[in-house]
Amino acid sequence: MRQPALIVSIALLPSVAWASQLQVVTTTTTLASITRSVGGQHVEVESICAGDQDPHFIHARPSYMRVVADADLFVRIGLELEKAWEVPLLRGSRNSAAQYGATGHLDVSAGIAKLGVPSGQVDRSMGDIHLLGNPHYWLDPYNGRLIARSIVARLVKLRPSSASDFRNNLKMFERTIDARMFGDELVSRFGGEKLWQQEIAGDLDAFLTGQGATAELSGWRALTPQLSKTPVITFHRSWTYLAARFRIPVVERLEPKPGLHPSPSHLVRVITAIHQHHVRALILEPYYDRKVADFVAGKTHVPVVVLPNAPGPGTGLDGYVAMLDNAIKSIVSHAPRS
Amino acid sequence: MIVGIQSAHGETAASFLGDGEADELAGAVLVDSTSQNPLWTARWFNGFSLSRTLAVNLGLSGVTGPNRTDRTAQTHLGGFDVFLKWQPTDAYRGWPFLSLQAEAMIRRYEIVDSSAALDDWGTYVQGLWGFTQGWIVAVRYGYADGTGPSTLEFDQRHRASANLTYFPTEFAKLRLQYNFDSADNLARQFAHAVWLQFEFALGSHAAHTF
Repeated sequence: MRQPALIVSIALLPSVAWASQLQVVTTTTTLASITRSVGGQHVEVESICAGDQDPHFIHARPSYMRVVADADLFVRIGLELEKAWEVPLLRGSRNSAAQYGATGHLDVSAGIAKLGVPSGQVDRSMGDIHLLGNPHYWLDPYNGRLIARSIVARLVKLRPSSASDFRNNLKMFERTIDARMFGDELVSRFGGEKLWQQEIAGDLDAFLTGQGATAELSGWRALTPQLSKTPVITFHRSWTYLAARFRIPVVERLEPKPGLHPSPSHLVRVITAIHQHHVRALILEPYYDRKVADFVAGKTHVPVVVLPNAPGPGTGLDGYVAMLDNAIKSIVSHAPRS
Repeated sequence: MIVGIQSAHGETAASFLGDGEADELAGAVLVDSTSQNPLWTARWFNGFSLSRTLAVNLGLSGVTGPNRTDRTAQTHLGGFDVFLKWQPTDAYRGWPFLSLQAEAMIRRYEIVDSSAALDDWGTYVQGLWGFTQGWIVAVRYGYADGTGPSTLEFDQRHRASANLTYFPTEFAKLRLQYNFDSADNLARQFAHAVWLQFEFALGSHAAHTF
């Protein structure tokens, strides 16, 4: 006699669990990965762009609009990265909660120290430049922390009852990033905040020397001396922030100007630069024109390294930290042997 | 789903109370109707991602409203459209891609008191292949036919087209197109045409604020 009631209870369980989760839509898989890390069980996250897709060139499919229509929170990179498709996507979603200025709309670029902000007169002859700065800032792990903080602040606003969970998840996420960056031992001794303060101020090496802790440095930051001796060519200006953090010399780009296809005369300049600077690798994302890189590699014998700059399906990388780890270790594997 | 009510007057409402210059249709005198009956429009549109690389959009449309042959005569329009696009996830600046698009429309134009009507219909199907960056090759076939009172001349019309388009920049395109037309009203029942088109745009780029 009690069986029907049991069946009804089981049938209701999934819908109750679903209803308690915030529906979050992110423009990129990087944002999706970070949101999952800090949102935990309280969020259901979907990314519009896949990890191996160019976020500059997404089509605002009606199916994407339906996804945004149900979103409690829409998270984007900003700095005009998604400019071409976010407007029709948001307009088509008819979701007032996700529109610009709404609580359910988050641009995580606020608070980021931007690189590549154009100065002086700007026009189309300069290529597809971004007026507000280079938007590929998530490739600096420090900015990954800032992104996570922005997302948590907004999640807390949307779901105050889960605030402590969000903040605990943020601590764990930051601890993961910090340990990958500086090594577990150093983070345990000084704390991630202190180490990042020194790093941002450019004083980390002196600080560690003063503390007699240089030998304890491990993780990505310990690879900086090797990375700084690994000159690279990139296809687009997408690795600027990673290069700045780890002092990787980017001596030239395959694009003559942002968004412009390489011309033969520019490729001649690139080949000359490769010889002059003893370039170690040609780096490009999966969606850039491999033929051009292969052509240059054929002339110079410099290896082509295909590096996803976002995790997720199609990349074999299961999260933001794995993506950074893959990028840094791939580049350092081409460092000269000293 | 979009439902609209709009004026049946004006040059864009040629099948209704539009401001066309014709004053006669199939023996019926077209009058400058003062009818205030509106056009009723409805459109359903939806899209589905079939996979990470394949998406389809479907649409249904309908319009109904008064026409100029009589106060009670109505015109009804119905349409169906489908758009299918394949693009690999690692497409470079939007290329390569393959798209298929088709539309079909049918119209019933009642004459005077709906005892007679003009019925016509048409369809087209086209395919575009963006085979390498900046280049698209396309083919298209269109067909239109109709029936109505003997005083109206209707014939079957077919057109097959092929074109090649090159985008030297995102602001311009150059297109070479060939059309083959077949229709009874043509002098030899068919015609060939070659078009060379250059188009450019000034102003801000769609993806940027300048």
